[in-house]
Amino acid sequence: MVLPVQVHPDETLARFIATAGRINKETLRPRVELFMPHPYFELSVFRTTEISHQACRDLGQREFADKLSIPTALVGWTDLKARHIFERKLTLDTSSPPNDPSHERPANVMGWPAFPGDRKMEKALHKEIALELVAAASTVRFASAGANEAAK
Amino acid sequence: MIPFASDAVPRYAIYRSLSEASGMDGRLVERKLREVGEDVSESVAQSGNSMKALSALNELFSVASEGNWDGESGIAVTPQVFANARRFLEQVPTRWETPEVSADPDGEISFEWSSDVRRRFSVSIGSDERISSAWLVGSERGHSVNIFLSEVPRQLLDHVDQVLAG
Repeated sequence: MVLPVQVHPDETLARFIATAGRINKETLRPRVELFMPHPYFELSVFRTTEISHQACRDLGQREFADKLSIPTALVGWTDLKARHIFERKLTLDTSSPPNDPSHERPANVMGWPAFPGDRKMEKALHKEIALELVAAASTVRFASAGANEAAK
Repeated sequence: MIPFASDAVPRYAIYRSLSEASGMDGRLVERKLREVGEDVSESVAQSGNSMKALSALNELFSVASEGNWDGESGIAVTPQVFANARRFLEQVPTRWETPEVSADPDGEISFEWSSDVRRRFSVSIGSDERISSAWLVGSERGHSVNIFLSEVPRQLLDHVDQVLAG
């Protein structure tokens, strides 16, 4: 499926999770660190509108977890509507990597504000934005079979 | 109970059980603290909540004290960061609930308190005295950088109280 370059505000984006430490164990929501850009001012998400749980899980395993420096089992993901990104004055870049069929449905959250010379203030502001994104994101969808039911 | 454990998941993907942390991890933490001159024999009078958070902090440090601890190029938590985070935790009011403890990708340690989806406070402790925080209370939000030397800054106390009042 060829997706338009422009992301529609109602599109669903998945932020994949490879570390259980990124999940609040009480609420099953992502922790704020999951939405903090590091080491660059960009955050990797995937465009997952209208794909099944299994297809999303396979995408996350193949395009995210398997491509980590130490490939691992995908823990899960959280969903977020693109409009929440735009509401925070951030942008979505879908152009990288251009025309590379080995990458599927990627997008980068860009436009994070910078405070040159004051990394701590910059981080505080990014944290504020990340808190808003966490509040807008879904509870975590677990990759392992039956895990979502068990977590309830 | 979150079904985190999987045979296919490497060490960094799992925060191990507290009982395990109290053994091997405890010794690792003690050794790391000695490296930065911390008094490991100091006994800290703490509430149950604080003890839980300190255990979680020890556990986290045992996992995140090596680079790439999260598989995503996460920077290692240093003994100095750990010591500062522990000192911060020892100063938070005992009336507060146990915070979520986690490592930031840049090697700082975060504490997060929340009482609702839109009532959250998060603070990051690094290797120096400047700490970054942000909060969300309903439609209000903000961020700040404060100096933490020996006492938790008043502004942060007020924000967490506000968050937990919900």
